[in-house]
Formats: sequence, C-alpha cells, structure tokens
Amino acid sequence: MASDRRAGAVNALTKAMRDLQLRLEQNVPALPATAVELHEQFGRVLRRAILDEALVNGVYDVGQLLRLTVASRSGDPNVFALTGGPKDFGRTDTPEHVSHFIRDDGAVIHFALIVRERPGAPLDLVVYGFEIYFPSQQPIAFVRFDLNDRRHSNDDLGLRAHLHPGNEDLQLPSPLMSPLDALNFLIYRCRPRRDTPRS
Amino acid sequence: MPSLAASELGPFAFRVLESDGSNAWLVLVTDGAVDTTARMLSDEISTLDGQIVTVGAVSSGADLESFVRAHADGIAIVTGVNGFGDADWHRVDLNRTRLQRNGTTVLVLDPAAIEQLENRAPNLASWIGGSIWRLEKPRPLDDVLVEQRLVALRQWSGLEDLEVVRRAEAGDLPPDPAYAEWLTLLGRGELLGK
Repeated sequence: MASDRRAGAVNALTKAMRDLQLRLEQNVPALPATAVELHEQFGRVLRRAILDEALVNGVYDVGQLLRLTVASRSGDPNVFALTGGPKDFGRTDTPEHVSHFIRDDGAVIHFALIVRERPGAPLDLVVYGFEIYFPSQQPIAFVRFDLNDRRHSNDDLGLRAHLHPGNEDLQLPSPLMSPLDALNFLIYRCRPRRDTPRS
Repeated sequence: MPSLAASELGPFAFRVLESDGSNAWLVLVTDGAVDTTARMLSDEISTLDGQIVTVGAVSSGADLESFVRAHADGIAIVTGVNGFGDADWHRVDLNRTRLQRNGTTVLVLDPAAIEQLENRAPNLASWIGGSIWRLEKPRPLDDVLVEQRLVALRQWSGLEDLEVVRRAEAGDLPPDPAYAEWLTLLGRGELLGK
C-alpha cells in the first residue's frame, strides 16, 4: 500500500539522518576537564583576536563580556553557563564594544554554551549557540551554529548540530564543532570571499 | 592572608609582559590548583606575546636557587614553594640576591604559602613589594545580567519561567540551546537532557 511505502521511506530517511548525525559528531577534540579552564581558553582566543585587531574591543572588555556562571545558579553543582556578550535576539544595529564583541568589519559575535563537569573526564558539552550577525545585513543577516540538547527525536532529524543561514526556521546540518573552533571560525573566517559584488 | 589586589589571569599575563624585565618578581596567589594555574598562565603569555615561557617546579630553597641559575633569562613561572619548610624560607630570605635573574619571575602559590612567605621571608617579601596578586575566579553573570537574559528569552519564546520548567519536567521542551540556558539560569540545571 502507498502508506506502507511512505512509512518505509520515512524510516529510511530517519536512519540516514541518524547516520549523518553520527558522522557529524565524530573526531571532536576533547574539552578540558574544568569549566574554569574552558573559560581561560576562550579568554585567550578573544584577547589574541583583539591584539590581532580582528575584534575592535579593548582587551579589558573581555573580562566584562565573557562570563562563567558557576554551579550555584544551575541547581546542578556541575553545570556551568559560559556566555559571551548579551542574549542578543534583537541583533541591534548599534552595538557598542562595552556590551558586544565587535569584529573589525562591524559584525557582532555572541555565544552561550552549557557544559557539565564530570569526575575524571573532560567536560560534557550540553548545548551551544554561536552567532555572528551583520548590522548591515550584508552579506547575510546572521549565521548561527547551534548544538541542541540530546534528544532522540532530534537525533532522528540528524540536526542536533546545525546552522541557521540567516533564517530561524531553516536548519542545515553542521559538524559538531569544538567550542574553540566555532569561536575562531566566527572571528577569523565567516567573511565574504569577495570584497566587491559579482557583476 | 594579607589583603591582596585581585586579577583575572588574562590581565595578570599582561602585567607580566609589561613588567620591568630586569629581575622583576611577581607573585600570583590562587585558591585553585597551582600547577594548572601555572600552565594556563604560561599558555596565556605565549599566546599574547609568542614568548617561550619556562615553567618549573621546585622542592626546596636550594632547588629554587638552582632553577634561577639554570634559567637566567626570559619569563619563568615557578611552582612548588607551597611545600617549603621553615629552613627553605629562611634560606631564600637570607640568599635572596642569588635569586636575581635577567627576566621576569612569577611565583604561583596558594594562600597558605603567601602567609609563609610574608612571615618566614620578610626581606624577600619586602623585595617583592606590592607585586602580589590574588587570582580572581571567572566573573559570573550578576543578578542584573541574568534577569536581562531571562527577559530576552521570555520575549523570544512567548513563554514564562514556570511553563518552561513544567515542560522540561514533562520532557516536552524543545531541544533549542536557548532553553538549556534558560533552565541553567533559573537554577534548574538538573532538568537538562530530560
């Protein structure tokens, strides 16, 4: 029957997406053992980027914008939130360096990730969201790399790790990125390949 | 422990780089793991300046003098003074001129050791002077910033905190990372992954 054929196709697609997700999650470098170390690694990348003039912030902005919210707030003593900049759903077109990480081309970067410490093991990466947006709307409004919470239904879609190409409703599969790779990518890459529009 | 100025690791690394290179001594006091702090400081300095930093652990006053002789130049980070006994502190205090180097030296130690240094090696402490900092822990989101983020999350989703918690408890919350952050900020991190 047609419904049986359709169900079979859906099951095949689910399997394919699950396999895709498994491939996308492989070979990710291990995180450090503690959230404090991860915080220091992030700070180091950001300060280096400022010295490289890839970010226009002052080096002392890093301490203001990069926050590690400790376990006392989480209800689970091993869970931490590492945040960079504000929760910027609005994507302001007038960002300021005292409140936002701003790239040399005017793009704004903000991020949040949740990690869990485990005895004798690297940090567990629970979720992340790394976004860059362009107040000028060029070449795109925003790009965001998300890692969703582990859910079997999400795995079926092969989209636990995904990116939003300037649209909240559109998700494309993405490799699971180490948080430092995601940050470095947004700072130094994710830039137009051409300075001038194609004719 | 004497009242000390606090510094996060990144700004302290800049202080090390900006210090007078000729025989400058700085002390960093940490509540955390001394060896890990020394390694992170070394990584930070190398990233900022490209310098190769010498990191060494010493076990006695004599060992510290040997280390200084063997590494006379450049930035050196030294750990291990936590284990010094009275005799070691007395030795380094008496022989502090043997600790002179051409580069900047950073002692990384815990609060108990800085008390020992102040009390057992007063001349050395005087020589170091005010170049002692307490390592500040990473700054968390304060109440104002937490609430700003929660307001943004509520506006984005159209939901309220209680509804988010109810859905998380029911295993019915969307898997978007914003909801995981929301639960964490509410102090309900134990609901993550349900």
